[in-house]
Amino acid sequence: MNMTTAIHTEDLHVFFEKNHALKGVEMEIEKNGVTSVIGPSGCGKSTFIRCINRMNDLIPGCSVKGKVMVDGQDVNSDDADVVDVRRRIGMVFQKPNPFPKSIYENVAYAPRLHGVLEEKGGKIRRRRHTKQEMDGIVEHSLRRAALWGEVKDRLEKSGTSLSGGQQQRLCIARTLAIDPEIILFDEPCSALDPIATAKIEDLLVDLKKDYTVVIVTHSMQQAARISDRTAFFYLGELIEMGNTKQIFERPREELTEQYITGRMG
Amino acid sequence: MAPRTTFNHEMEELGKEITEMANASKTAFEKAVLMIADMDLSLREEVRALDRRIYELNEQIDKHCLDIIALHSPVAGDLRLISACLKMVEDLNRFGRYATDIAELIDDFEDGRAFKRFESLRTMSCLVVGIVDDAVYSFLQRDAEKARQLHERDDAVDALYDTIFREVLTYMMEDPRKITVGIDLILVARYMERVADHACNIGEYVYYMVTGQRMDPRMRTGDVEQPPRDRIYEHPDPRSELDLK
Amino acid sequence: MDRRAREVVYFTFFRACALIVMLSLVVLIGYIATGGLERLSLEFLTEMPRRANTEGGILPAIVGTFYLMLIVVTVTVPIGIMSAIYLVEYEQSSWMGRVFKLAVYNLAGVPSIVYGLLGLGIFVVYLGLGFSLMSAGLTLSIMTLPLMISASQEAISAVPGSVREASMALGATKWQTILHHVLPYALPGIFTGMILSVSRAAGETAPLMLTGVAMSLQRLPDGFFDSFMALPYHIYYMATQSSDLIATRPLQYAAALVLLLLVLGMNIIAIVLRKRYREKYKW
Repeated sequence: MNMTTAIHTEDLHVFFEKNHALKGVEMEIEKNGVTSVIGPSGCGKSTFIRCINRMNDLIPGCSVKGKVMVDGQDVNSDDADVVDVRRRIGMVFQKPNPFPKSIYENVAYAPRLHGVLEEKGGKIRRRRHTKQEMDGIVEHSLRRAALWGEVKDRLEKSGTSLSGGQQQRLCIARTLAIDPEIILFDEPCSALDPIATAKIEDLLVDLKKDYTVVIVTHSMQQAARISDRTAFFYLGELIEMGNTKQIFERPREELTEQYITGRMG
Repeated sequence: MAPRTTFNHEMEELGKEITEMANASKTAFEKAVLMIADMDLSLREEVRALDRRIYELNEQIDKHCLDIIALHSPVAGDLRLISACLKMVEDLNRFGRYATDIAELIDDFEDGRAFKRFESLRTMSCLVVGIVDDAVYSFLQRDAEKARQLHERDDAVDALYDTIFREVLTYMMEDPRKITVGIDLILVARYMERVADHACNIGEYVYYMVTGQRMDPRMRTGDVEQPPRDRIYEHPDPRSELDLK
Repeated sequence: MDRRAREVVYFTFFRACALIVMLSLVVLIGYIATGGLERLSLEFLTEMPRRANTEGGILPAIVGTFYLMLIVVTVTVPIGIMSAIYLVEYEQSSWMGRVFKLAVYNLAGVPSIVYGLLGLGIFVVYLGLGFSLMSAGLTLSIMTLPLMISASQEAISAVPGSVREASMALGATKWQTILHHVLPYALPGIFTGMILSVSRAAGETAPLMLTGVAMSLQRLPDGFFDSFMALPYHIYYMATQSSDLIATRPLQYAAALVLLLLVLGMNIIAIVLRKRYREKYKW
């Protein structure tokens, strides 16, 4: 592990009741790059990224064992602050799920929740954002998500009045508003048309300059197009991981070759 | 994900086409050499027919490869195969062309005595036929090892060409009436030397197709020792400015 | 008979059923309105009853019913919502949650007279609240609580899980998610539950009878622990026990009309509120 590792998992296992969904996953994810996770349905890719921001906690009967090291801290340990973990590691879901509130409120929700950390007289405390600060955050987030131009005149309109692709970018803006270090994407484009998909893919490549991006995708072409590193999962195990070019031109493992050439029955 | 039936079918068809072309090219060259060795003019039509077929297949395979790329996004082994095919057809095409060129020159050899006189030419032709044979074989059998060894024999061919050149030069200087035949002889040697080079190219493509590694280009000139055999699959390239666009 | 003909037959049948329902409603309202409209006057609405309910107004009954509704809303809405939140968010699949759900469903089916007896025993006697608005109101509350819990629970469950996930992925705690997202989006459904519960409570007679509704009072209730009149009972009393049934018939209809209008009025308010929240959180 070196200074350019954002996430490092050690012997990660996930159980859903009796079902052993993830088996001993050891993986390193680099900072400021796009890492894609591919594999057939049910191979554990979504389960894997949900371990990173403790979203598997929401599923009853799910237990996660092993270490998930982010920035030197084990995110999966019992005394990790889950709220803080989720502030630093954002997630965008498969089906766009903006809140049925205004666009402004969608983006402002999380920053308002967490407040502003301020140091005053040697002590750190939280305070509310001023209207100016909040406006600034909303604009900045929407710009970064490549949505500002399209919505700047109708921030008070409902988030659900946008098109699918715009809604997904709104969800991205919402996550960006609290300035995470890592953003996880769980098949973000599967519900979108090709043009909206292309816009989001461009956005992802742009985001990697400032954030660590991990994307689960069932489209190998998408993984090939946008990711720097690719990890291939099969039946709960990490089979191979490497540079995207290497994986798609000369994979090391037979299973990987079978999957990406479409010969996995 | 269900196996990609259309894609697999297309790849199989491509395989058949390239096999046919490889065999045709090999046969064309062999027949051309046979023509000169035995002064058998009857083979000329066969060589010409084969050349036409080779040209057709060249176009067909070219188009077929592009179709597969456009429609099916091949990756990994499939991609390397297609890359090899696209490049190979050019070299195979040259086999056919040189075979025809050699066959055309036969008119000038009259009784073939001139050809028989130059031992080195005969040796060279055997050697080159062998290289062509092995190149096609290595492709059909996906034999990376055999592909890699082709370069060594190419050095011998180059050396023979130099020898023939000097010999024929002497031959022409002895008797100016022999100049026409002499030039033709040099041309034949030249064509065969080029065929050997093209066969070595094919070897390089086959090596990459099978192992995913590129052969060291310095091997062309015979300057460098062979790459270690067990490090065929090696760790990914160091990342620099990866440009995905 | 071929498919299309069958389709027409079924459709006509369904339409007829719907029409019968509509017709019943119209007949009901019409009957009561025509019977009581003549006696509906400002005086009727604002004066105390005189001469054993045969003259004067029904103000105490109106006020009594209103206060009862107030108690019911104040008690059932918070408890109902909080129980529903507990059911949906915290104890979804555990055995305790299932037992609780079962209890709620069963309680909803208990006859109102049984609740009346319950009220009498617990509130009037045991807790010593006596025959008062409070006893009656609390009894009605317990009666309508299951309904409120069910409706709220449906409304809260109907909020998609994706919203909860999104909120929690942004770092909100479970409670923050409920407060900022689940509850607001469930409000339309909760208001519907409120409408149903309160409407039902407004019209119940049996529990009132057992917890102290008065036949006739010349004054308005003096606080929640005082005796009271209520519209449903008033109508019952006048229709069965008054001295001159024929003469007071118009009064009965008028009182029934007032009750109907009161319930309608409350429904309209709740519908307006529901609409407002539906507009606010458009899916």
